[in-house]
Order: sequence, then structure tokens, then C-alpha cells
Amino acid sequence: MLGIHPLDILVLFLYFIIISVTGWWSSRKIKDTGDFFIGGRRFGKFLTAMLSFGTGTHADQAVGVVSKSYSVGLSGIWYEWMWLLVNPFYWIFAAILRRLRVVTTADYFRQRFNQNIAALYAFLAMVILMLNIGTMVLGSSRIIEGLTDGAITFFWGVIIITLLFVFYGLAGGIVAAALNDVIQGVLTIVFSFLLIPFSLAKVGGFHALHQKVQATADYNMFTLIAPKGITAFFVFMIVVNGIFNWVVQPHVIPSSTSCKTEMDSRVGVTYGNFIKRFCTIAWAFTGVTAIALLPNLDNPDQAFGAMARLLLPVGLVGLLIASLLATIQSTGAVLMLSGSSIFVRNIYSVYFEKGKNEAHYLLAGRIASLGIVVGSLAFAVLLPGVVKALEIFMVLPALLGVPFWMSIVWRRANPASTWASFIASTLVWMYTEFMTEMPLPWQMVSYLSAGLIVGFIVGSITKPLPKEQLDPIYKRLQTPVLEEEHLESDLVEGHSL
Amino acid sequence: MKEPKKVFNHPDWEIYWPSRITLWGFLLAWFFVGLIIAFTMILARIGA
Repeated sequence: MLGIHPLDILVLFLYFIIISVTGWWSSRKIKDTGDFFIGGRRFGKFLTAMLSFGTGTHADQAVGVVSKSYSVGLSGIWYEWMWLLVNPFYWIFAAILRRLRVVTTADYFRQRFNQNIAALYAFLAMVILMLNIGTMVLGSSRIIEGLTDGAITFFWGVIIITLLFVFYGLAGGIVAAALNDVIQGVLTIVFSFLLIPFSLAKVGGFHALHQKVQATADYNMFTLIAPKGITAFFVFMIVVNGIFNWVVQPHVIPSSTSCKTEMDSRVGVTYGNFIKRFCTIAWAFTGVTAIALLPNLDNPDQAFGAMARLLLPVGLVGLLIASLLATIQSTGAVLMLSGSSIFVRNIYSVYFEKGKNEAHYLLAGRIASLGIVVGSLAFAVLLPGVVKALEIFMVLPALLGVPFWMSIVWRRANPASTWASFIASTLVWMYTEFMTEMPLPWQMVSYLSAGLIVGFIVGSITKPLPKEQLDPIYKRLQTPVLEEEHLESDLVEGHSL
Repeated sequence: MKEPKKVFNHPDWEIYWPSRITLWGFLLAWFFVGLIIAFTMILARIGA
């Protein structure tokens, strides 16, 4: 039935019951949205690490790395490992973000610039979230298609996954997602490494693996720097781009600032992300092993699911599907509701319907949620594959990452320079992406340079923002957390220690 | 509170020299990066 063993279906149902009960139990402990978004700034190093790992790790990323490694060899690891070389910078960035003492990234843009820039960020964040959900749905549907040997087709996979997170989210499941994410985090680590011993046993050990994989290519498939596609320059540029990209991803400020101290933030964010880099090794080896075991797959995105079906014993396949669906259920719901909340808070209630009651905004939020789902499904259907989606995801946040960093280090950065930088880098990216055959690293050089140069020129020739608006922000950046007595009366509305 | 020192003594620029915790933590994180890459390369060479 459904291309999987009845015992796997039983495991699937049991798992759903357990996850629903734990979700309901944990939801009773969270009282308001402040508790949900930043946990009342009470998290320690371990919880921050698990939160950073959980919110930043999805099944589609495993699919992407397995898919790319299946296509180009071990160097496919860089599609996620681009963040490995950005990881040490989190040690610095986490403290900066924590010192901003804001709840969301839009709040920072509002305080540093104005409401219009916050709305611009909100719009981009919604597109990023839709892309996130779309990629997650796309990647997970491919896994399910592979796991069920096509009994559940890609189309039906998309429908089932979407219904799961939409109902979970709209029924108020957002508060239950935190514990669910921790359980998924542990299972993600387990499943990442579980396939390795099974696949090595099947292929006949490391030596046989090397022989079989090398026979398919004319270059070394086990080197981290490959002659095709992923070169040293590619890796260097995705690291530079990552520095601009990471800070403005919608989940980063909430997960970096949910802890009590700067040290908790530094340790939790930096080492929580190192756990993910470790899992990535297993994903890449799974992709390379798939070359030996399943050399003729139609679509590389199916490699992860097909490997699991081939290698995992009865029962574990059901657990993998259940774990996958539950991850999507919680993460998809969080992303969908985060997007609708960003829309209602920064766009709808500011530009369309001011001063309405809570029930009005709740309804608007629900309608916006459905709009976000439609946008996400469009991404899932229109995107040619998970790897292309990851490439677009590398670009979009960086377009506002450039003005973000300019605003942190340069007092003359103002709304005009931010608009100019964003428009310039967006136009250059669109030109290089759609009108030329320019490789991704050179696209990054082009749009980042355009954003920096145009932003700098416009900021230099236009009037800077008043000192009274800027001084409190720069003073917060220089004041360590828990030494707020030095901030005196600088804290204004919207700040949270 | 000790006043942090600016990299450029210019009123428009807000770039500061890193603290000792920032510097040593940053270097330690790079050490971990090296460790993870070395581990992967060793793993890739087994059986070659």
C-alpha cells in the first residue's frame, strides 16, 4: 500500500499521535507571541544551539546536498557548506545582533531608517519565506516520491504536505512547533548518519565505493574542490555573499537574540550551526554512495529518498517519512505564520487598514497565510529543482544584507542610500541571471559591488539622518548586554533588553 | 564600562577593534572549521 510496507504505515501513524500529543502539551506553556518569538530572552547556550540548528535545518537541504553530490561528487557538499566558512563570523555577528536589542529585523530597519524601509524588508522577507516553504515542499515531495517508489507522485506529495502544514498552522499550532522542532532536530541528526553504514555495507566497503564511483567520472569525485562547477573561487564568493545573506534571513534575529547573554548567543548560534555542518558531511557521502548504488536516476533530487528506500529496514522507512512530514508540519506552519505576521504588522496595518481591532488583523493574517501558501506552491511548481532554489536563496537576502551592514558601520547610510543600494543590486542580479549566462560567483561579485558602490555614492551626497535618531542605536551596539545601566534613557519603544 | 576603540578615527564610521573574547572565539571557531574539513578529507581518502 502506498509503495511502503504496512509496518511502516503503522510507525507513521504512531509517530503522528506522539508528535501531536507533545505539541499540544508544549503549547500550553507558551503564553504570548513574545514568548514564542524570543522565548522571553531566557534561553541558555544549549537551547539557543538547538533552536539555531532546528530552525535552520530542513529536509530539503539534505535533498539538495545529496542531489548535488550525486551529480558532481563530494564537492556538492559546498551547496550547504558555503555556510561552514561563514560560521566563525557568527561568533561576531551573534553579539552584534543581540546588542541591537530588537525583536525582529523589520524593527531594526524601522528604528535605524524609517517605516518604508521596514516595509521593504517585510516584502523581501515574505518572498524569502515563500521561497523557503516552496523549496521545503519541493524537496520533501521528491523524498516521498523516492521513498514510495512513485506510488505517491510529486504532485500528490505537494498536496499532502501543503494540507498538513496549513491545517496545523491555521489551527493555532505555531506555539507547539518549538518542542516539535527539537525532536525533529535529534531525528535529523540520526537519519543523516543512519544511511552511511547501510550504504557502505551494500556497496562493499570504502575501497569498492571509490572504484565504482571513479569509474563514472573523468575527475576525482572525492575531492572537495572539483574542476566542474564548484571551484575555489565559487567557494570564496559564496562565503563573501553568505556574510551579507545570513544577517537578514527572517529567522536569524529571533534565534540569535532569544538568549539571556551575549556569550549564550555566540556559543549557541556558532556551535548549533556547527552541528548542521557535521550532518552535511553525511548528506554528501550519501549522494556520492548513490552514484555507486543507483547510477541511473532520472532526477538527482530523488537520490535521498531512493537511497532510504533501498537501504533502510522496514519500520525505519515509516519513521523517516513521519519525521519528514512532522518537520514540514511544524516548520511550514511557523514560516507561513511568520510571513503573515510580518505582512500584517509591517504592511497591512501601516498602509492599508490602520487602527482596526485584533479580530480584524487576525482574519487578515489568516487570509495572508493562504496568499503565502499560494506563492510558495508557485515556487515549488515553477522552480526547476532544489539546487536552483538554493541558488536563488543565496541571492535574495543578500540584496538587503548590503544596506544592513552599511547601516551598522556607517552613519551616513540613510533611507535614500538603502533604496539605491537595493535597487542597484536587484537590477544587476536580474540582468545577470535572466539576460546573460554569467556563472553564479560572478553574479555575486556584480550585484554585491553594485549595491556597495551605489549605496556609498548616494549616502555620501544625500543628507544623513539626525544624530538623535542614530546615537541610541550606535550606543546600544557599544553597550554589552547586562550592562544596560549605561544606556540610561536611550531605550525607546520597540526595544527589548 | 571600557570605551571601545575605533578603527578609523572618523565621525561617520562606526568600526571598532574587536574585544579579546571576540578575537579568541573567532579563531577557535576557525579551528573547528579546519577540524571538520580535515575530518571530511580523511574520510574521503579511506579506501582510495
